[in-house]
Amino acid sequence: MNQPQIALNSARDDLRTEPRLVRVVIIATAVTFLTLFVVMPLVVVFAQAFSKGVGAYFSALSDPEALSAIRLTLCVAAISVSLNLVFGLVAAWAIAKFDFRGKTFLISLIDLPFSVSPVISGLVFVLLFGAQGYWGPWLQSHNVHVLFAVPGIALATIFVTFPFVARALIPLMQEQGTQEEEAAISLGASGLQTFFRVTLPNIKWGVLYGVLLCNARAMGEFGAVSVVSGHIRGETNTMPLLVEILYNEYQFVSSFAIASLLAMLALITLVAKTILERHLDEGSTPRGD
Amino acid sequence: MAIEVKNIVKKFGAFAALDGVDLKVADGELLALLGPSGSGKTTLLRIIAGLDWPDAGEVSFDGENALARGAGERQVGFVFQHYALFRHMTVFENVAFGLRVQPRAVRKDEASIRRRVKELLDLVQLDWLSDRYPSQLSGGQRQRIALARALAIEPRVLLLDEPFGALDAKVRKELRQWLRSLHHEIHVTSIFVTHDQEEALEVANRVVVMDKGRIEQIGTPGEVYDNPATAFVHGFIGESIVLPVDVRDGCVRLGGRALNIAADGVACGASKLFIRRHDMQVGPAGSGVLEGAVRNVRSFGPIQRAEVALSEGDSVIEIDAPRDRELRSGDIVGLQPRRYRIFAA
Amino acid sequence: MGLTLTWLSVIILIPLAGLFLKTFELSLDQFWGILSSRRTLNALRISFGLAFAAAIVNLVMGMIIVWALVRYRFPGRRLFDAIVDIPFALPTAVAGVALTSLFAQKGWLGAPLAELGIKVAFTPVGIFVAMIFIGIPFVVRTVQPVLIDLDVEIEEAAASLGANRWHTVSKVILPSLIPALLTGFALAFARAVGEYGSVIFIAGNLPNVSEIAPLLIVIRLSEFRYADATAIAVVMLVASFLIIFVVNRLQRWAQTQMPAH
Repeated sequence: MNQPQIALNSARDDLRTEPRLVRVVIIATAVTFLTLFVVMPLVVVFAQAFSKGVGAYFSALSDPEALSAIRLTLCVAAISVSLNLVFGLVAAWAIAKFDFRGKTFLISLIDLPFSVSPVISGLVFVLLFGAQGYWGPWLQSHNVHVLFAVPGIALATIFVTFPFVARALIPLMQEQGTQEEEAAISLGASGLQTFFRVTLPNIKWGVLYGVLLCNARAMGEFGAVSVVSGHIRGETNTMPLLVEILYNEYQFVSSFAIASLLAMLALITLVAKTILERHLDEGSTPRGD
Repeated sequence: MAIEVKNIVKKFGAFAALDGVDLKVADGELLALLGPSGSGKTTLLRIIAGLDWPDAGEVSFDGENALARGAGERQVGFVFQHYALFRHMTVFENVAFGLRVQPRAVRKDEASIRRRVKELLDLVQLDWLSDRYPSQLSGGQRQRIALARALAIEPRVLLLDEPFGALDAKVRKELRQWLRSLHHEIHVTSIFVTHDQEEALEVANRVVVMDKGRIEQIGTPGEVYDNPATAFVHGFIGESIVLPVDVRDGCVRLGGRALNIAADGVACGASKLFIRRHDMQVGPAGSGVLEGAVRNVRSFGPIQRAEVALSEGDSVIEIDAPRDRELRSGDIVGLQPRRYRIFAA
Repeated sequence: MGLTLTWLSVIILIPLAGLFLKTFELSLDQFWGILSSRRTLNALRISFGLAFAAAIVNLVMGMIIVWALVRYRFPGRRLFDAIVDIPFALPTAVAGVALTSLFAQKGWLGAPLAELGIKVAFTPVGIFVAMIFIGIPFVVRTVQPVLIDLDVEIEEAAASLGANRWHTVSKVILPSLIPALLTGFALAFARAVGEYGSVIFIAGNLPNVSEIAPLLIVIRLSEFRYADATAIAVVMLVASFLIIFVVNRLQRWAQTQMPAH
């Protein structure tokens, strides 16, 4: 009774997939597209950076301008991340654990910097602090420099990276609900104790995730910072801005060397993000693991 | 259309979902595949439908090898447990789907399709929902639409996978009756899968009881209930009292003591005595073959259910008694099985 | 609460209020004058037009990519899945210089294209390419979870009713992906319109030809023509908000399509 076997094979093409040729074409198209548009640009960065050899690469990175830009970038990122961390935590806590009027407004507000062009973000700061801005004359008369100086860059970066921590935490905290906190309070813990002993450990992966993305954006921000910085060499150039300047001066190796650092930052961020996502997917973080 | 299934084997890795299944379905009958989860009943249904393929064995529709064709070509109407209605289409478009995707040569014109869809919606008494979307329907309504959709293509056999599993008890009961009368009206060979024995016994012409990839018994609801062929069938269908006994030389022993009941043709050795709860007569002490002390009693509806610790062996069983003679904790009662079966353990 | 709101107002509300207040300083005529200047109109046309076209490309390619990633198994699938996120994670200036280098006349991709007579860098085509680059993750990541969660039984139902593979895909699967596809499209579009860093290196930045609206804003700022810059910014903002509004609507519509279990 073996004849059914042959029939089995011919009719049994899995009814949930396409003919082989279609599959091959689709995969080939997807792979080619991604290779051309994503893989190659990434490779080009490193190829150009090392095009004059390893020595040229490292000397580009140890150039005083480069070092100053790296320092500035790290500094601005540290400021933005720490400030946005605190306020992201507070905002997420307020939204997730309490009910109050204007909650939806708050949430939309938090998303705002996310949806606005970075140039427009920079623009609003110029309008406020620029020579012809609202506070410009006042600031000038007090010799306080916001625009074309580090404070301006920091402010613009804080604005642009504001949503990341909050957006990572809000859904997480909403999902976790308030029962554990209520239990802690009923057992006599104070607000602060509850926060540090109960809330914080539960959200630690979300915090790391938000901080990671916030940091990546803070270090890589270009448009908004470009508008407020004035491009003063050695003083108000972050790494992305320096990449632009060097590129426009045809100093390709130097430009791509710095770009390669930023590219590596992006890759590390992606890897860390994937790892953290796996932790987040495991539901509420098991404590004491 | 008659269906014949021969020696079907289906393995998932090392797990045998179906382990040599033979079945004949008569034209026009309403058949239930009944069993616990993992018994293979859904796998068998899907193999008949063409949604899964056996590792070995034959399936034939009216004598023709069905395995030569895929699901779309076998003309089966499949109704899924969770309906699988196309949520972006209206009820009308859902039911018309099978008619609209037919190849040009066979496809009817739009007017005929409309007529047929209306006919079907009338049949399931839901034509007033024709323009709604599935998300706007209740569970029971969705199931009826899923059925109408399956019937639209004039299937030779209707296959239903736990069709009422996702509905509440009351809706389930209503739809059961409705399915039975529908089948009476349209007479399509139908097979449905269920783990609810009440449903199977109430609705089907014949019941196929399955366990662990094998068929335990095939018979009418009456046969399967009154004459269970194996211990599994007896235990799965209806409520049974099970007692471990030892059969030797035609003598049945419970906990060392001989019981005055026939050995039922079972060979020697450890066995199980099955008694349906309502077949156990309860009387005063000494009135029966078994004796025990009542431990606690719950009354509900027309019966009292009591936990009785038997004086033979360590068994504690649950018995049902009518409410006319009230039982109290501590009473000694005599228990006499009116009917029983013994199966080798 | 008070703390958050204070912080929020300082950091977000006040700057934005400043933006709108500045605009209201202009009379309607002036506002119109700025907007209808040839250069402004062209910049807006280029930004919105090319962003739309790029989003369309991302819609099609995104659908193909997400299908391959979710439905098929092939060597390197996980790697390509991760790669999709790169345009989102890479700093825009890095993307800008990389794309320019790649598509320049002597670049790895620019050279073969030049042979075919297609000039990419420093033309509107370059803008188009950069906008495609940054939009890649949006359609893919928005559609991916929906496609993964797609009910297997739906496909089996269609097959059992006699639909061939093409019918099943086009009439049953794709329609249920439409809300997610549109959302991804809108997100890619909104992002491309406002994009600055990735685009200005590869664009020719010639006024009226290859000048994007964000660049025009920057130029006006450097000329201290704050009012002009603001006017353009307001138009872009209003358009972005409209897009976000539409996206929210779409997402709400998508929810109604989900059966309530």
